[in-house]
Amino acid sequence: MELVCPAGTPASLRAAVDAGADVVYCGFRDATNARNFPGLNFSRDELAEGIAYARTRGVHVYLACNTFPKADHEHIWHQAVDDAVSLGVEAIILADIGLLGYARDKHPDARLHLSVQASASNVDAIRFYHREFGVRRVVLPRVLSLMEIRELNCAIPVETEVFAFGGMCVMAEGRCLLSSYATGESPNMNGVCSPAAQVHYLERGDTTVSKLGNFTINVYGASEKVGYPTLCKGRFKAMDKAGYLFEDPTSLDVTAILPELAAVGVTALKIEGRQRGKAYIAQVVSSFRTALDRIAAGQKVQTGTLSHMTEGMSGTTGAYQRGWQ
Amino acid sequence: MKVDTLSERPKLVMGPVLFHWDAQVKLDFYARMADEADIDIVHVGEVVCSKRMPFFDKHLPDVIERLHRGGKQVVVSTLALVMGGREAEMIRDVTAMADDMPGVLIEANDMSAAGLLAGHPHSIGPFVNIYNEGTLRHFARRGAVRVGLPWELPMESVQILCAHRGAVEIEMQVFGRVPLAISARCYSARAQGLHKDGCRYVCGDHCDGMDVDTLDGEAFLAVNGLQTLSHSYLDLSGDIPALQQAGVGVFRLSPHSFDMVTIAGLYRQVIDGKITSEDLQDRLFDLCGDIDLANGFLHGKPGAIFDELPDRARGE
Amino acid sequence: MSVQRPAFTPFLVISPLLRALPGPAIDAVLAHALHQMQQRHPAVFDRLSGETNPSVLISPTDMQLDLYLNLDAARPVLRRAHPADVTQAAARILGPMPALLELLEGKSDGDALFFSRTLKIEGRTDLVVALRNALDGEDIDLRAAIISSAGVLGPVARRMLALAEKAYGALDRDMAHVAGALAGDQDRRMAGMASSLADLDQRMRTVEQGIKRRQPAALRREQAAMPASSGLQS
Repeated sequence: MELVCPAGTPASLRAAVDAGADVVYCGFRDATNARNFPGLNFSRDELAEGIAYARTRGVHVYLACNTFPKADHEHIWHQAVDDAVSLGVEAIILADIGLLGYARDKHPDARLHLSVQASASNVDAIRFYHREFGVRRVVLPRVLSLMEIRELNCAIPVETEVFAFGGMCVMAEGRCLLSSYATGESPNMNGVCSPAAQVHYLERGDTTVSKLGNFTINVYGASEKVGYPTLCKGRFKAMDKAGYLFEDPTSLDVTAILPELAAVGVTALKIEGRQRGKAYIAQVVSSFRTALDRIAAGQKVQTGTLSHMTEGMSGTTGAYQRGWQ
Repeated sequence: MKVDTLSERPKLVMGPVLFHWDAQVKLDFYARMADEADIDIVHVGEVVCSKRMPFFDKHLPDVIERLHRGGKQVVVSTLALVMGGREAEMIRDVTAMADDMPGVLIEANDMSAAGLLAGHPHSIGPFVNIYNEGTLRHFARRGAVRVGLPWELPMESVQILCAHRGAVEIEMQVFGRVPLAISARCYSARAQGLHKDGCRYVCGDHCDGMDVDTLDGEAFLAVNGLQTLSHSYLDLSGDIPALQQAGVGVFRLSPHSFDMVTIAGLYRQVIDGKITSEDLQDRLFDLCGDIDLANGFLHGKPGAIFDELPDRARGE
Repeated sequence: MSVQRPAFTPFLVISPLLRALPGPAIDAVLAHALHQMQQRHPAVFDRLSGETNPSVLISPTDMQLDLYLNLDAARPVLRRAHPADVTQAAARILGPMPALLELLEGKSDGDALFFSRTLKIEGRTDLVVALRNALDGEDIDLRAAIISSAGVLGPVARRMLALAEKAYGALDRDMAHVAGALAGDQDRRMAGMASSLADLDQRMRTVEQGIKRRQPAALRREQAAMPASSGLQS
C-alpha cells in the first residue's frame, strides 16, 4: 500500500520524504485547501522546491485543493488547479463538483483524486465522480467499515485511499456545519474547523475550560489531559449526563489492522495532520514505513508505538470496525 | 434584478420530517398538510436513517395520494448519507421511479441519487454541496429543476447563485432546526449506552431532537439519531423580502412538533407582505414556547446567532 | 490565568546562573539571535506577514525571566519582557523551558505538547499556532544560534553561559524522573465546587436570556434601543 503523508510546511515535506513517504500531500497558503490554518501551507515557490526535493528521492507530491469555491470567487480555485498542473504535481485532490468539471475540461490529462471532503460513501456516488470527471482515486470517508470498503472495492473502477492515522472526523466530511454554526468559520468555505482564532482557555478554580467562540467545549480537572477544542471532540450534556457525546478524545490508528486493509483492496494509506509539526510527521511516517515494510516481509507489526502522538493518548480503529457505530 | 421572479408566486414547501415520529403522528401530520396547510409542496421520505424506513414506507402511497388530492406537489427526499450495498440499492429503487410517478419529484440528498437522476427532471436537496456557479451549472445541465441551497451560505453567495440560476428554482430553508452534521454513528443510541445495531429506536423519544447543552448549561445542539441539528430554530422571516428580490422562489419550512399549519400560514403572510417578521416571531413564541431563533449563517456570522442588525447585502 | 506550580526542570536550578548575567547582556544576545534568525529563516517572518501585532510573551515557568518576541519583519524584537508587555503582547505561551526550546526547534510536536498539558496559551491562540507553524516550517538549530550569538558577549558572560549549558545537560537526566513524583492532583474537589458555581451562574444567565426572548419582539427592540438612543440625543 502507498503511504500518503501530510506536509504543512517545507520542513515537514522534507521530514516526510526522509522518513519514508511514498507521497506527500500539501496545500497552497489560502482558503483553497481544508487546512487553511495560520502560518501553514505552501507558496507556489515553496511547492516547486518541495516537488524538486521529493522527485530526486522518488517521492510523489499531491496537491489538496479540497474546499468548495465561494460563489463569484471560483477563479482563485481555478488558479490553484492551473498552478498545481504547471508545477507538476502527480495528482490534484478535489471535492467540489464545479471545480472537478473545470479541472477535467482544462487539464484532461491531470490525475484527479476525489477528496474525503466530497464524502463519496457508496458505489453509485463514486461511479458518478468517475463517470463525470474521470476521477482515478477516491479518498474514502472515515465512516465506512472494513466490510463496506471490501464491497466498494469489488464494485468500483477506481483506487481507494483510506485514513490510517490522525485526528478523526466523526461526522461525514464536507457535510459538517458544526464549526460554522459556533464560529462562522467553515471547513467547506474557509478550510478551517474550530479555528484557533476563536479558541480560548480559561482557568476556573483548578479546572481549565476550553471555549470555541462563545461555547464551552470542555472542562478539564487538574489531572486531565487538555485537548484542542475541536467541536465534535468536546464534552456536552444530554439527558442529564455529561460526557463525550460524539467521540472520545482518541485519534485514529490503523496499525493493528493494516493486513486487513490490504486484504480489502485499499490502494493507499493516508496520514492526517498537515497542521501538525515536522516532529509528528517524522515519527508517524517512519512508524508506518516500518510497519508496511514488515508486512511486506511477512513479519508481525508492532502496535502502540505512536500512542504519545495521539490526542487523548489513545488510538482507535474508528468506523473500520463496526462496533464504533 | 430579474422581473420574472416577481411574476411567479413564491412557493412554500414543507420539508421532509427529519425525526422518528410514530407512524400515526406522521399520518396525522400529512393529513393536515394535505387538507389544511397553505403549502405548495410537501416532502415525504426518510433522509436521516434507513433503519426507520420500514415503519412508514408502507403508508407512503396513501400519503402521496392524499397530498395530491389536497393539491400539493409531492417530493420524495432521499437519504443524506448512503452507506453500504443495501442503502445503495434503496436509492437505485427510488430514483428508478423518477419518470413513473406523475406529480412526484425526487430530491437527491447525496451524490449517488444525484448521479442516478441525471437526465430526468429532479430536485437537488440542501444536503448536496452547491457553493458556486460551476456546481449549480453542472446540476442544471443534468436535469435539476430545483436546488435547495446549503444552510451555511451567506447572502452574497445566495445572490450570485440566483443570478446564475437560469430556469432552475432556488430553494432556501427559512424555518426549523438546521441540520449541521450527519454521521455513521448514532448519537441518540450512544447517549443511552446503546449501539446503532441495537438502538431500540431511542431517537423516537425526542420529537424535535434530543437537547445537547454545553457543560456550562448553555443550550447548543440537538441530536436526532445520526444527525446533529442546531438547538436554535432558523428563522429567516426578516430576510424573506431580500431573498425574494435575489431570486429565491421556494421557501422551505422544516417540520417540528409544533402547529405547522399555523406556522406555514404565518410565513405565507410574511411572503405576501401582510405581516412583518416581528409579528411572525411574536406568534412563533406563542406557538412554540421558549425557543431560540437564529439567522446568523445568511448574515455571514456564526449560525447560532440571531442577528437583529440589517444586513448590508439586503440591498436598498 | 497563572501557573502556581512551576514545572520541575533543570532550569529551576540554572535560572539563578542566568540571572547573574547583566540584563543588557542578555538583551544583546537575544537581539543578535533574532537578527541571525531573520537572515537565515526569512520564511518565518513571511508566514506571519498577515499579522498586525505578531507579538508574544514567552514565559518559561521554570525561570524568572519572561521574554518578549515580536516578529514584525520590519521591526523584529526579542528581549527581556517589560511589565507593560503583558498587556501589549497579543498572546502568551507558558511552559517549562525544555518544552519551549523543543517547540522552537521543531523537535517536539506542538499539538502533542498541548494535549499533554505541558504548554498553556493565553490571548490569541491563533497567533501562537501561526508562530508554531512558522517556526516548524524551518529547520532551526537553536544551539548553534545561541553559541554564535554568545560571541557578542564579553568573555565572563560567555563563561557563565557555557556553565549554565553544562549544568543543564548534567541535571536534565537526573531530574526527569523526580518531576513525575512531585506532580500531585489535589484541589480537585475545590475545583469541582467552583465549576458548579459557574455552571449555576451560566444557567441563570441562560434562563434570563430566555425570559427576554419570550417578550414581544417590539418590546425587545425598545429595550435594546434605549441606551443607544439616549446616547445619541445627548
